[in-house]
Amino acid sequence: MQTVKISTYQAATLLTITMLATSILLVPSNVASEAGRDAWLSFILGTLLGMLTALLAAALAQKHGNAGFHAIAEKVMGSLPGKLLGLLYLAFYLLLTASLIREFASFMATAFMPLTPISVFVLLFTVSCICTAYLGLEVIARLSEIVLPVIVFFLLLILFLQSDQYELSALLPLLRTPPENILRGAFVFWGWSGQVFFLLLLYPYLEKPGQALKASLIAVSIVGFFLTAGAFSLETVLQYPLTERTVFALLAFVRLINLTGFLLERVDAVVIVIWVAGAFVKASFMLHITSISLAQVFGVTESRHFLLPLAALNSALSIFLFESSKELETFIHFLWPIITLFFLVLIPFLLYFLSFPASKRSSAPGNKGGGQQ
Amino acid sequence: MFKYIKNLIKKTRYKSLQYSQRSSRQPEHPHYPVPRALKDKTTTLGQIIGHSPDVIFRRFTLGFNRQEALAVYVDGLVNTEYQNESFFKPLMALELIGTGKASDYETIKNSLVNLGEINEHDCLWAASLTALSGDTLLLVEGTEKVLSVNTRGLPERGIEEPKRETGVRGPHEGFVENFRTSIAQLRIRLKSPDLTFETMRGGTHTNTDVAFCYMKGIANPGIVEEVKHRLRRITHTDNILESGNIEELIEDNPHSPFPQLEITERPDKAVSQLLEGRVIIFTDTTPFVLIAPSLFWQFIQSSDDYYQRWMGSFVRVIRIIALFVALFLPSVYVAISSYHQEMLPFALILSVASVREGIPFPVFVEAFLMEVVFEFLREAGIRLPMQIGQAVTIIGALLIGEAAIMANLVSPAMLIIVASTGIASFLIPAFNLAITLRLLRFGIIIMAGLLGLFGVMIAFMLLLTHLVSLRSFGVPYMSPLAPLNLRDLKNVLIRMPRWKEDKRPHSSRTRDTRRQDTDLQPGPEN
Repeated sequence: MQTVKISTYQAATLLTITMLATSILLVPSNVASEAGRDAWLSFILGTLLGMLTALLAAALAQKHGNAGFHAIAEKVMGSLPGKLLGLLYLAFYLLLTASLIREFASFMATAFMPLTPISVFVLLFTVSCICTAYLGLEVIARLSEIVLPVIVFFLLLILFLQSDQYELSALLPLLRTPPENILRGAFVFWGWSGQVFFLLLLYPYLEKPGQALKASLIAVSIVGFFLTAGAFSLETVLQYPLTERTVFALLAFVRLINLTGFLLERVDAVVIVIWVAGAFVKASFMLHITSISLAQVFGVTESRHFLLPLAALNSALSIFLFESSKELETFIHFLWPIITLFFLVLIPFLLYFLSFPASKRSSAPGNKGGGQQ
Repeated sequence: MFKYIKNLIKKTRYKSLQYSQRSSRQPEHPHYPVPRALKDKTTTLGQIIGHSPDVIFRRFTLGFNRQEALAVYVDGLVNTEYQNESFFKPLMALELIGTGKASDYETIKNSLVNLGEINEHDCLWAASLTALSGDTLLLVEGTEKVLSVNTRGLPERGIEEPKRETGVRGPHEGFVENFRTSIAQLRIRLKSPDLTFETMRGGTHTNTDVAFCYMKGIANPGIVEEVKHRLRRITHTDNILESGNIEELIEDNPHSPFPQLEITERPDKAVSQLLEGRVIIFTDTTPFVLIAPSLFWQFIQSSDDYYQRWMGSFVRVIRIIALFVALFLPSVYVAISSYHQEMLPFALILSVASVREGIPFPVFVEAFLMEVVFEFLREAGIRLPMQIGQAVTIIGALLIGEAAIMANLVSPAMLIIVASTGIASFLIPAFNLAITLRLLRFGIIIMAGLLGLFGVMIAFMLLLTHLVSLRSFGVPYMSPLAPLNLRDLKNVLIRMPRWKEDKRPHSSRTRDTRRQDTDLQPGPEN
């Protein structure tokens, strides 16, 4: 079998899409409801927190010879506890993927096609994504390589098209929001920028593992740039109360663009392009990650067998977990950052500290052996 | 479902196992040892070839020893004048003085037949195959060998301008059916000892000559080996009538709608591909040669781009736009006009609505019908003789289009969309890719009709996924876009000036990467 290898650039694009795809549409309004006018400051802080996560992930991997996360967990905690932790993480991946699919579907349904039942979007989207996940990491990486420039181009385009509407005075007075609210906003964004953690799962497939940290830091900064710029423009164009009251602030922003007399009246299609392309790559990546982690935890060599049941599970979960899109929004706003903090920061941090005595222990048998001779 | 997939995997594994077992042995053909006596030789050969009217058994007496001999050839495949002058005349008329120790057979082989290419066979079956390709067999008494002499003069059409690949600038010369002539056309343009040919026969019954060639110092040995390995498959099939038969047997993903091997009729294009480290596969009896490996972008390039100045870049950008228009224009129109009307400017939506007034079908049906009619017209235009074909196209376009609008069956807007899509698809130089786009367009229209822009986007993503998963002889199909290679990419979307192209494409992993010196930029010299 051919070994799967992805380049540093591909890792960077994949991580960027993982963080950017859904956050650009959902997070601005959530952060704005915490930090108000100073949301952009929250995004800058959140980006810094994301960078810290990336540093932690890279440090953990380098300590264990560029192994993947599940291998590290089993190595540090021992086989059985490591596998149990792996199971816990699998639940986390499921939750992430299911909520991602639901976010996708509910956006399409509420914003564009309100008469279509949500399950149509869920099913079609999931089935398409497992087709991609089935083809493996290399294909997903190449897909991200093509899709990211498209997303970046369209984001820059919509920021540019609105440039005549910017009113910088809307940002004033600066720093009116209490610092704890700004921090809380940063925390919400950390739920996404912390997903740079998935670097840990990419490690075994990297062509040059030494450049992984660079790739992830670049990815976090790209995402940070777009969300900060996004928050900036949303505040100056939509202005304070509107940003936090609309669920999909970016869509509201794009709907204000009017090109009549030039080409099109509305450019909402751009949002569909960004949203579908990004979510598609992210969901395929997540499904692939879940299947290979499952295979690793249970010691199965062929991970593709898990994809179909996983797709079924994810589509069902995405519909049953949330009663309404309001519930989904509350989940994203209040619960998701806490879950993320636990899985993407606390446990890796714990593993990092546990691995100090582990390395001592691993050197101990060697000494013992020397003593017996 | 799972079991089904499992079975599928098992089956494919089994298939590949079977194949590898079969391919490990050479294609079997019966062995007929050559008997000593001329009489026995004649009877055995008669049994193998049979006595068809075009196979000629010519008995004659050798001039120098007054013995019987037999010449066997196929009428129509040999150059008679040539055969008389250099084969029959010396054999029948010459008398040799002092033949020395050599046997009669050796004498004939070494001094009498004054033609360039002579082959010895010790199997009558193999010898009869060469006779069927236009050689003349010489059978004499008292030896266990058969001599086959190349007297080929195959019926051949003259060299003409390639029909499918016309260009504004560049040689007006295309390959011909006779692959020896085609190879000569290639040699004329590439006088390099590096050019290496390997030949084989394909098709157990047609015994078609197949040759592949590459530049020894440039082409990646791994790719050449892969081509050679896959070409072994063609010796197990009945017939190779066209390079298309070979294409289907050696491509990477036989289920993909996308062509994975480029075809060309132009010798100049073949040369430039050879110099980019690719392998060219010639097939006898067809002017189309295959290029392996081929990448997606090659199908929207034409050799003309490289003969114009760097302005060829413009044409390339136009073609890429045409590619998107040909694939997505009708479906985007269907999606926007049936699901997302708010995106159109108010004036436009009014005019679209007013022309659609009274049309009984939804936009989706209208688009689908018109596309089908358009495909009918196009196919009719291609298959019919030139004069009638034009008439049909005019009747179709003018009468049906006009009448359909008058009868309120389709809107003029839809007609404009379908016509522009058709024109855009004519901009794609590669015919095989154009067919793929035509087929995929229908799929995307259906998705647009069902789910609007969301459906179009999902179709686009699936298409992209499929494209990036494809490989052609191990080279990713979408490179240099994915995996990204900036150096190659600038030569894909646009065309770099000639003096800038100092490296061969990275994707074909050539042995020799440098194409030319780096300081070739011209300018007034002081």
